[in-house]
Amino acid sequence: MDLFSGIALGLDVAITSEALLFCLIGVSVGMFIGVLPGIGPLAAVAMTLPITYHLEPMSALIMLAGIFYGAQYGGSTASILLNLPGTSTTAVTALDGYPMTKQGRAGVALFITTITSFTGGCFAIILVMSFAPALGQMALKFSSAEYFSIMLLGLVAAATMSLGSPSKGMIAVIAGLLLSTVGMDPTSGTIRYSFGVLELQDGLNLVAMAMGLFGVAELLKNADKPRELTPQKVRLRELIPTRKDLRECWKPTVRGSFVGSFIGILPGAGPTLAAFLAYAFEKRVSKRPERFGRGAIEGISAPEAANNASTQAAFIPTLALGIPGDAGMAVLLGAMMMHGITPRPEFFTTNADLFWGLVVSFWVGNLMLLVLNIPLIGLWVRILTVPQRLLFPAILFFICIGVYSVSNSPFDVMTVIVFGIVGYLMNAYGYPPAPMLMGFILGPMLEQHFRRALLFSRGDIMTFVERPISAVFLALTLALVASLAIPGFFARRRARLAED
Amino acid sequence: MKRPGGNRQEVAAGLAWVAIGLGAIVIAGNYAFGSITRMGPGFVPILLGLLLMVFGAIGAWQGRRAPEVSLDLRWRPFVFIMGGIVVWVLLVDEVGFVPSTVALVVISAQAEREITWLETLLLAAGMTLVGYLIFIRGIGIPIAAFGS
Repeated sequence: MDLFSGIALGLDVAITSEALLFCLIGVSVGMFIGVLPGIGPLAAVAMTLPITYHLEPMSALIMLAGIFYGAQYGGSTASILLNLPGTSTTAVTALDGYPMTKQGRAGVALFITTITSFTGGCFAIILVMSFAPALGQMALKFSSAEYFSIMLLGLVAAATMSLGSPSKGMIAVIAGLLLSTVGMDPTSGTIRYSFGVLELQDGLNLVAMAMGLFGVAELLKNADKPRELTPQKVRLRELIPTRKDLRECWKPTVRGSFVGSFIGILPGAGPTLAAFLAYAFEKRVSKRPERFGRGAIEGISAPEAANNASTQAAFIPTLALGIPGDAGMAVLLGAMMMHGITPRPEFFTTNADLFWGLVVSFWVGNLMLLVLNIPLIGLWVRILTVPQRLLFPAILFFICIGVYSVSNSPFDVMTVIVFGIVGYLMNAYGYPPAPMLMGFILGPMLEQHFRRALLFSRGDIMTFVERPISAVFLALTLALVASLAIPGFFARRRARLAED
Repeated sequence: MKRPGGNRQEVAAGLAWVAIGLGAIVIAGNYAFGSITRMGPGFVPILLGLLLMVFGAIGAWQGRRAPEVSLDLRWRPFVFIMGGIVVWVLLVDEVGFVPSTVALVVISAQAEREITWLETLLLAAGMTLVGYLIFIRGIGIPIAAFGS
């Protein structure tokens, strides 16, 4: 199917009143969650997942995806106005966004980030449309060996490219893989690690785990901490950038879109890294790097274009291979599987309407976000003033009822408590919880492909290197691991990121 | 701050992972191991347990020089947030959705010292109503509003 008939098909699916409604709900919820500091898109997707059970798969996917990219738009608001990132992906935006607020240019900063987010998102959507089906076509030839190697690369990348210690990231991934073996082994039917608990025989519940690690753990960290939340009012008139602003921001936006899309396509590297790299790159190519950190408009436009582009581009490996780029995408993948949709190469031909409908809905959603964002900016700023003491019990209630309603199981709610404590301890000791969730979601597929690849090769471990595509991915994985062994390499790069 | 004695908390965390890996291997010893061609259900867990032990040991080793962990365990949010969830899940099948949700909001609201009783009660009423409309009326999850 060529690009244009694909878009035509997608328009048919995505421009129905039902699809438009759920797209609007999705992006509004995402925007809302993104604006609120502390609760990220991951917890938001997990929280709304139970509600989508009762929808058509198409509507459910449009809505969940909308939450996901909508949160990227909203996240910059708190970064700019309060120097407090709404989501981790917009932390870099605060570096120059907050100084702009102090100079009385908050309106301009919000306007520019909205426009650059839109540009970055649209750029990457075009890439998804052109490359995802092609990648799917290529992946038809993949066997278990290739799948194993790609997933290994994704997991190692997720572990080592997060902004903490690489060995702690690896521990988190391995722990997640081990957690995924709880329950029945699909090949032999043996029950593993159930400790005699009946509920554990079906394995741990993804939603419960995500809510514990990213919902409850965040509440525990942030509750009862007095916060100064008095964002200044932003008037519509103040939004309009000068001609100089526009001239200064268009090139960084284009560069940011490229960086973000590239990072998004890589398995294991998410929007947070994309934003950091785009910022570092912009600082490097700038003629006057000393302006960065003091309200440089390039410093907000490049990372915002990059994180939105990365979020959209991450759909390429997720849809074509079933391999998510980061933990948020992994939860979205989990949601798709619960709706009985397994992304894999055949997805583009057997579920063509679903794919094109979803991608066209990205466009619709980005357009809605643009329209929602600019005239309603005052409303989003007001959301920041809702006190946390009212918000937190409400979030906790939605976590409880949401997890309970997945399978009407009190046991799942108890799982939330356990992973809330695990997530809290991991945060305190500097272990990143996101790679653990990725390991948990990819674990069953990784084990299955590992076993199947070695079954086909009659136990010959060389099968992973003899197949050229698999060998390339393993070489990349090895290069990443080797870079860990050279402590100077990462230490220097981190030091540079930290000082930026 | 780097101290010559190292950071005990970080080292302990690394060793805890080694112990978890060891535990996973011991338990997986009960499952059929199989051969590399036909792996049994125990093969991959044992492999993962070994990897966890290796990386846990690396973590402990690196932890000797890591900066001090600041574990600011504040009991107030911990007790009231966790307590709220436990009470909700224990009550919901016994006395129904409305009383358990009120209990959840009232308990978890105490995690913040600044909240007033009026705010707490309004919040409890609001959440119960919204939750009832979305989840019981809307989605129809099988929980009674009152009673079991």
